Amino acid sequence: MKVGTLFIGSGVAATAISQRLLKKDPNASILILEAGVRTKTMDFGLWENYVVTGQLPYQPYEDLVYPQRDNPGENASVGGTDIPLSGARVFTYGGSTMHWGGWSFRLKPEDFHLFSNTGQVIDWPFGYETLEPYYCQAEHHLAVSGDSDDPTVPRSEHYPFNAFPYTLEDQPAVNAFHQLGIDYSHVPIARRGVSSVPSHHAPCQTTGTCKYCPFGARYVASNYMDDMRAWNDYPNLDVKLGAVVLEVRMAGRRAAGVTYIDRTTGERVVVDADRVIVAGGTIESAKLLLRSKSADWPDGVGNQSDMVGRHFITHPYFVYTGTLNENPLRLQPEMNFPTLVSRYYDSAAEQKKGKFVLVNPPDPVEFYLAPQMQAGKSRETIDAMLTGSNKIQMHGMIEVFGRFDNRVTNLPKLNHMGMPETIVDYTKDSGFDDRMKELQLIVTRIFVAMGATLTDKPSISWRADHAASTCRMSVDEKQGVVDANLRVHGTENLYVCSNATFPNIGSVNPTLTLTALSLRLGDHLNDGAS
Amino acid sequence: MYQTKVLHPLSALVPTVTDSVAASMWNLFVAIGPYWELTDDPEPYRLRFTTFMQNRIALNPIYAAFYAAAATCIDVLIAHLGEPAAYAVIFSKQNDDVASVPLTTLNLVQQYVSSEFIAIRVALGGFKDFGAINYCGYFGGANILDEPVPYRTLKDAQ
Repeated sequence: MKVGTLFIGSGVAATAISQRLLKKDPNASILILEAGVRTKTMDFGLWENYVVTGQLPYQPYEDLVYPQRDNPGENASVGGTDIPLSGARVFTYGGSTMHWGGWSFRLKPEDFHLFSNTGQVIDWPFGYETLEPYYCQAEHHLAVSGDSDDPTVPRSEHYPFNAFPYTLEDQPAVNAFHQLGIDYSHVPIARRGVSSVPSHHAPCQTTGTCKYCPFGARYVASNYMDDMRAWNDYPNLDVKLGAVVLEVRMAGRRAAGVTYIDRTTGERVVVDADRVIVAGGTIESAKLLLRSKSADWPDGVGNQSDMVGRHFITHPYFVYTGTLNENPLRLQPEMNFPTLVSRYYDSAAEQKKGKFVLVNPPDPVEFYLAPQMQAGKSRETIDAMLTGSNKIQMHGMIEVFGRFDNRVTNLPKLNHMGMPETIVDYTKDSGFDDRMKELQLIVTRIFVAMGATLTDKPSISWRADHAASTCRMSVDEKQGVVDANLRVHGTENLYVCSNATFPNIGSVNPTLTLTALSLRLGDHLNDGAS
Repeated sequence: MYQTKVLHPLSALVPTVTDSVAASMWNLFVAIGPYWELTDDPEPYRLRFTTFMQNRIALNPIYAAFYAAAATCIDVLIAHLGEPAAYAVIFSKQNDDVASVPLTTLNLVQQYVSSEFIAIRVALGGFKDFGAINYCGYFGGANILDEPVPYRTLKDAQ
């Protein structure tokens, strides 16, 4: 089999680039190989099941937990800090957009110059201004609702849809931020709104069940890929599910194609391609390059400087919990996504020590009605619980920096989906705990201003949801894996389009930036690149 | 190209519930209102409720047996205690550990039937008696400029 462009991975990167290529040439030959299978989206019965049980149909396609006593698990964590993979990513058609939250922040201009500003890591090969037009296009691709007047990050175009107004549950945080002079803004969120632009996709109906939207109003890449296949005349666009790619086959500087295992038949299949785009997640993209060994690439393609899989980072996600003495407004979760964020500490001034954002979660006041009724509590008891003392939370993410020794590699075992398992070797910086102590002082003041009492240290999740940097972009091929156009250093037609290519991720979710990079790569390829 | 829709080989075998079981389940669903003093009218939910039961059975055919067992259990309780008290037994004495295997028919009814009906009833509109105007599982509507916002906002505190 021979194709023009071969993608490995079926998430937002493959979808956005394919859309670009097919817009220019509807006959473009494109094959997308996805290791996972289809999870049915927009199914009312599955949605109801989620509403009453909390079970999501794609959960079987997540990593198992690390091996424990009495639990064989999968993958291996060998560093000083456990980075959980379970729940962080989904191996299914559409990739991790199947479960993402849709938080669609832009990086800030200073994020592109981390080394110049702080001496940490490396700079991006280009600045914010290069990516800005693509951020605008990415916001349309993902159908982002946001505040076009928000001055937090420079922008040249409006969001496609209006921001969701702050919820009543944002009130304690808003009051506190006002009192302390902390700026805040609307969370840009990938929930389709209503506009005059026609779309096959329904607008958000605020069902508060975003992890499985019954309407497809939250961007899921497979819905958009299905659109391209169902509604357009793209005769040479194909998707192959259950295809576990073993290696990229190299012929000198050129990628000749890939070899994959068909999970259905067990057959080993060889595909030739004019160009190969590795569009998996941060971990799988790096692992694939490491597996792709040949005489010219004895340590894996792109790994001539031992950079592949290195500098692994993610966002520590922190949750502070306090006690609100009373709740006269009966604050309770009405939405399932946040509307309020403060990027006040996501600033150049904080960059050297690690920027962070504060997010008022959609359920800051932890009161859930149905479970109280299901537990047999009376109406009187429930009313008293709701209006009385309740827990209240503040969430956020903090930037950490890539280190050479923090890495991911292949474990020579197959996971429950037939894919190579992962070794994660990560140890947090020695200064991280001190940085969190500084943060706790800030959050304590916020809780006092909210009229709440901070009750404990934060819970910190190092889960690999925002894993990045394992194939980072660099001008100097000794410092990274891909160039400014995402082409693997030393190759002619092999690209990586993934969070793996980010030199750093600031303190915000990476998907909007990945989408912008994807659209930029699409234009680059359309302009005649290999 | 692979098929995007398939007929499950067991589709023809999906069981249904009898009219009397369906009626008993509807009565259980309605009884949630008086027990928790909900003021919403359940009648507009009837179609959604019926569809919910059908979907549960389609997803997991054993739910037809759960609903039949629940109907029998409710009949017995009503025969002994009368209607309001029978429903009170189901609603007020829940099995604390919902993840555990139900040990009695009552546990089973609570775990797989009444708890789910409560979740659906609240999401369909029962939540409104507790002060909110939107809820996770409720179709609140779209966010449209210059139209009422489908959830409580900061302005509602003023």
